[in-house]
Amino acid sequence: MSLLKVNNIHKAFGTNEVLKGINIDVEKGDVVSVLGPSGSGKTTLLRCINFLESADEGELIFDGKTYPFSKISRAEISDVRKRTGFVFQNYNLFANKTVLHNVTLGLTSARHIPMAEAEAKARDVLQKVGMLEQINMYPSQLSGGQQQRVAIARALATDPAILYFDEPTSALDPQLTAEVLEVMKKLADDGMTMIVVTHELGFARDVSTKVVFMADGVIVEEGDAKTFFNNPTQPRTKEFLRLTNS
Amino acid sequence: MFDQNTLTLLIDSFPKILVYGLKVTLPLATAAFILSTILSVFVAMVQYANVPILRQICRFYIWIIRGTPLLVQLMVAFYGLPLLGIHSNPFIMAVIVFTINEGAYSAETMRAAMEAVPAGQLEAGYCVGMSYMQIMWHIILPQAFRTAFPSLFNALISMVKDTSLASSITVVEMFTRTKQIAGQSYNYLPLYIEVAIVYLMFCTVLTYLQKRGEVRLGSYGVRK
Repeated sequence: MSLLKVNNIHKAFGTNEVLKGINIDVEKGDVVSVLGPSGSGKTTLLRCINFLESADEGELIFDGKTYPFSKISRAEISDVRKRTGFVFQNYNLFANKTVLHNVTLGLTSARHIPMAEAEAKARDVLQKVGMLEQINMYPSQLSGGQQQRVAIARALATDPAILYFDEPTSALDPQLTAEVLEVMKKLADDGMTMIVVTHELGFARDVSTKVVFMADGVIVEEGDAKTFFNNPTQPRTKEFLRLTNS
Repeated sequence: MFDQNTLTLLIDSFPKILVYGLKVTLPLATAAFILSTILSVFVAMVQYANVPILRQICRFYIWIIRGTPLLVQLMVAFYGLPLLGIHSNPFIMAVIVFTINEGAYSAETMRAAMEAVPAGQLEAGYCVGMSYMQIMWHIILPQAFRTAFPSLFNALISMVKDTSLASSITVVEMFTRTKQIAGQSYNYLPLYIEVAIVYLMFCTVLTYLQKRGEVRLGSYGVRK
């Protein structure tokens, strides 16, 4: 049974149709890489799934419950968000909080977990991403890669059923990209369910169980990583892989 | 100008003026500043969150207050409130008028500061499951307050001096007290210079406090 399913999602900004009926099916333990050229709607798709944008049409089935995008209540949105984690392209760490409090805030405020317990959890996840030493620093004192690893820890701390990554390494240089991808690979190995919007083809090929290729608001091709990279069927996909691999 | 008599007058009157500064001017400005800051946060939040109807009311409030002189507002309150059956001592009335007046200006400062907080902060809050009010309290307001702090302090410094207008509604504050002393001695200029120096002293202390406050509020690890 799938953990998360998106049926026929549509989204337009004014007259610009960004998502034209997309279906996605994610099973527990899946790592789904969403690839595609800029402007294909990948990020919008991810933002709609977590209700940062309101989709015009379609439904989300999450953990057996169906939520039509146009009729979901604020309480339902909050329920779903409390069981998911989101990692942004530009980290979005809380600028006025230390690394520790960035991670604990979602636990202490949104879930009313006592600070001592939240701190133990925070230390645990910060250890996982290798950021335990910087626990009392502010985001502005960290490198981009470090900030993104803290952002991953923040998302992990709430024990989400699924993690969304929105181009998590696009703002980073190759070395910092590598350290973030390393953390993500570790999560995948631990069985974390993830949807990753990315331009990192290496990660998509080596880590993901499933690849979705989008262009112009539709899914052009999808399949398991090996088939997708070795035997793409659509001309658009072949062109994309040829251009990006060269 | 500065003969022996004037000098004696200045020395004698200094504590009298200062006492009214400490007893009336500063309490009036401080009370109105604190209340107006609280008011401004509410008015700014209503606009930031785009609450229907309340938002229009807030815009109307800001429009009226910013479009009329403080002195006129004091007069309208002084003669108008008793007609509505509200009788209060002039000091309280002055606190209310200064609060409402400054609240309108500070609300715009606060709103601008809140809008300067990147949208991603709000989104990140949502994504860890926080509610709108939780995000406001823990994330947006602290960052906005840090940004607004120098402007808010500007307002406080302005207000310390504007309290002299309260004399028009019979509040005997530092300036009125000076006028009284000057009237008794017929020696106006030296006393007005003296009270100007006392205002300057107050504002110097406030400027120092602002600097301390900025350091204390910190800049979240950004080295200056």
